[in-house]
Amino acid sequence: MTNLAHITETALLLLAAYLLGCVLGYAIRLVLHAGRGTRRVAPPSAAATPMSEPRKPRSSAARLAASVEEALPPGPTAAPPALVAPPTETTAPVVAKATPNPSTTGRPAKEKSSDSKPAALVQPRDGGPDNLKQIKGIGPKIEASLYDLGIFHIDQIASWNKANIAWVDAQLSFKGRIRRERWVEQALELSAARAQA
Amino acid sequence: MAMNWASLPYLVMAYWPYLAGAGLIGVVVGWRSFTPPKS
Repeated sequence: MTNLAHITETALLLLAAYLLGCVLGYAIRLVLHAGRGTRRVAPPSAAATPMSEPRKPRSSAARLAASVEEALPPGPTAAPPALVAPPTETTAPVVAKATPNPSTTGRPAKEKSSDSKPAALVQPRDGGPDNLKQIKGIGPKIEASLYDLGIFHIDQIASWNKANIAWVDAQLSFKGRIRRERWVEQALELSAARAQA
Repeated sequence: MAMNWASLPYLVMAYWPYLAGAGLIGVVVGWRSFTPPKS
């Protein structure tokens, strides 16, 4: 029986060591995390999205044409007054692309890309702004920033070309996040779904 | 079956590598079970 007691005691000791280690490991990480500040791990969906379905790259002109087609209602209804204009023409409600943004004029690197600013609206079209949070990767803060930039609608994002993406990327200090999270592709899909509905 | 506390030093001396291993495993498990609090 002493042998059995010996085994039991050893097992209990091992268990105690394991539990102590668990608590220690958790506490160490908790302390390290608290010291480092709030560091959030990126949601797995955002990281997995680019790999989930590789898309054939489309030219910006084709993407723009498709987005305009999808954004327009099929019927003969009058076009909304503040429709996104193609890059070559500027209609009255659309903010002129060459208009320098007061917040960026101080940065010489961004002055060059003023013509790559995407078509912005002064105010949302009829029905108010779209819920841009439908695009994975856009949260409330980014949505508010996009509204500030004059981006109110999904089809505006769908019409971005590479230069537009780079411009918004620079404005929001994203370092390629728009491309990684496939905002434009998501916006195109959402526009297509909306057109079908 | 009461624990014989007198044998504890002997057990620790004899089995410390196993105890260290169990503790190490526990540290890893505890570390990985930590999830950052959502702000």
